[in-house]
Amino acid sequence: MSRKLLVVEDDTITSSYLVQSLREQGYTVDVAEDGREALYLASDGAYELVVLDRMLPGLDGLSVLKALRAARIETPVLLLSALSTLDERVKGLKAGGDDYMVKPFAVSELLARIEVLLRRRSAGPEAETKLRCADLEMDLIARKVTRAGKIIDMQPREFALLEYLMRHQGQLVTRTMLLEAVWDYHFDPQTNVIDVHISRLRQRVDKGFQGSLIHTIRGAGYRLAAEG
Amino acid sequence: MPIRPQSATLQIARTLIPLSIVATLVPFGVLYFDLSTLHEQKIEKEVSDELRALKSVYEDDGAAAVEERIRDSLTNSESGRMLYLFEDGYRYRVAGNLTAWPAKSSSSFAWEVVPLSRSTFAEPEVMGASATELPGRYRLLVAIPREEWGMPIGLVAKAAALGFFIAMLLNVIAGFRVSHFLRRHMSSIVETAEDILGGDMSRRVKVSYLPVEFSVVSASLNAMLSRIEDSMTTMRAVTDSIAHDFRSSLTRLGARLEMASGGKGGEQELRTAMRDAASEVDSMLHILNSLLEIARAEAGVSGDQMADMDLSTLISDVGDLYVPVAEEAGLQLNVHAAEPIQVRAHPELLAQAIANLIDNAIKYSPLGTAIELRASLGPLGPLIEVSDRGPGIPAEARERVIHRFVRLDAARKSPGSGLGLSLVAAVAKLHGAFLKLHDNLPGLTAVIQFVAKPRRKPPLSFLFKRSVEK
Repeated sequence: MSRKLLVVEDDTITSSYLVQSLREQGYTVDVAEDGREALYLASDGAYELVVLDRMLPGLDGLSVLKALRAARIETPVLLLSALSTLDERVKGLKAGGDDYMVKPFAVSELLARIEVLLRRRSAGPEAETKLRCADLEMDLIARKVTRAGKIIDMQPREFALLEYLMRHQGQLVTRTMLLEAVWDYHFDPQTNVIDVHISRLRQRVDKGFQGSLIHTIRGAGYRLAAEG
Repeated sequence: MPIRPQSATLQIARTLIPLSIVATLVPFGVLYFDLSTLHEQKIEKEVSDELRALKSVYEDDGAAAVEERIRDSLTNSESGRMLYLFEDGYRYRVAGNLTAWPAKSSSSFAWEVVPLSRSTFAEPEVMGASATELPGRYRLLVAIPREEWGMPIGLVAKAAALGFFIAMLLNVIAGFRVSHFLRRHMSSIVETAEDILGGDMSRRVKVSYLPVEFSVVSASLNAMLSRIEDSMTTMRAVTDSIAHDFRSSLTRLGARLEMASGGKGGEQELRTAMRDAASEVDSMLHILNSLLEIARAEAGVSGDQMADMDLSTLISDVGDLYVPVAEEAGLQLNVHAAEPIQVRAHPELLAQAIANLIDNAIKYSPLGTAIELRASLGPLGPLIEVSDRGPGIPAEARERVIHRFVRLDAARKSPGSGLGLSLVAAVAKLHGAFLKLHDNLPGLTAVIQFVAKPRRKPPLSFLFKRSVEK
């Protein structure tokens, strides 16, 4: 079954580009060009996820989102906005958005975030105590990491970084996502700080073991996965 | 009810008229009350004198003499004000022109104001009367109708009217004076505003000769104008630099695309060209983002974004992010965060500002040197320091590098937009702090100095109602 997404975007060029990229990924995509239409389409709850632009003619994105949430429609919503201020982000998430991206954005970033949101939904909120990927194991209670039975020492931040990767294993995770999830910073550092942290993590997790688990996806981000 | 604008003169007059009415009515009212009391006492005395005179006539010459005396005075028009009632023991009227003794009064009283009738069918009138009992069960009453007391009301009213008229005249004069005064002092503000509308942003209201209330307003206005002028100047400078930066970027971009589309190159070359174009666009977006960030830091953030936080924790977190980055670059980043230092700040923007400073330090530090990141409590208040051992910034350029897009010649070779320090300065300003650069001998120390200062109020601000309560 292909997954149905709704893209709400009034700019036709942006939306056609988005739709094309999403269809290439195998999603079924509907498009709404204004808030009213978006509300009408989204209110039957048949979509797995809604990509919602904030600046829309008629009814603005936030109002659409609030209306959906008021109607008990819990479809994940990823907000897109040219409004980049932190206040705006907070407003968006408070109104019931699940994630917030600032325009202009890289499509790879958007795809990665959509994946994460969809995955989170299917997984359900079960409380895990152990995360596993191939022979890498993370005990969340004891805060202990082992690979092939050997204990790996970790700094708290490294632990958090690895935890995020393991929770999203098999998925593309972008640098921005990591910076947000592990450090809670939403700015764009001038140097590639995340790359440095990942390479340190590699030193600990992959070096001296059979097969590497942390893979670089060129120009997009990282993925934690067993080889093959 | 719609509010119509009114001239100050009219408003002042409208305030003053009721005040003047009160100011005239109250003293004249009091005066009238006192005068009428006095006057009544005079009338009372007149009546009791007459009564006493008649009483002595009776004592000397008997009832008939009194009767005659009353008749005389009734026919005599000169003493026409007095009215009499002289009754015998059977309460039969012997003389006088009043029909009946006042109902509730006794046969003898000093002074009462009661209704009495002159003749049988006349309406009773209010009169002031005195009465006395005479030997032989006679009794005698003398009265003067209140109508004929000749109360000084007219006199007082005339004086009051004159007073009121004078007060009104003064009001009008005062109104004109005040409005003239307002107009005269406003005119300098208006003229300045008109000059500014005419395009001369540098004009300011002259404050020196104005009365103090006006100079407060003018000073505030001037401060506002300066702020606006600053913003405009900055805007212009920024627009120019953006235009310049973007123009060169776009020119390169256009040229790349032109060459690629007209070239004979294969797919490989096209791909390279597109990659270049994409990275050119990326750098433009990066510049745009930095500008937006600066703008938003300068615009301020809503109060609920500010939180009480500990600087030491903040720099440990940022340090945490950058220590490996510095090591990777062959440098050492030492974080000194000993004691907790409380400030009210926007955690994320402040972290970003510190990150910018560290980025710069990493960029310019010679291999193998150390960068110090420190939070401490200085004499002026909390401060954050980032020091490096790089080339530093010459003293004369330190003010300049904080401006947008300023890149010193030495830095032209390295990547960067020239916006890093502007953002730091803007973030500092947002926190009521300032950015100071000084020599680390050798190297550069950048300090974000928080100043713990109370909110300044403009002088005499209590004279003005604040429409906006913070």
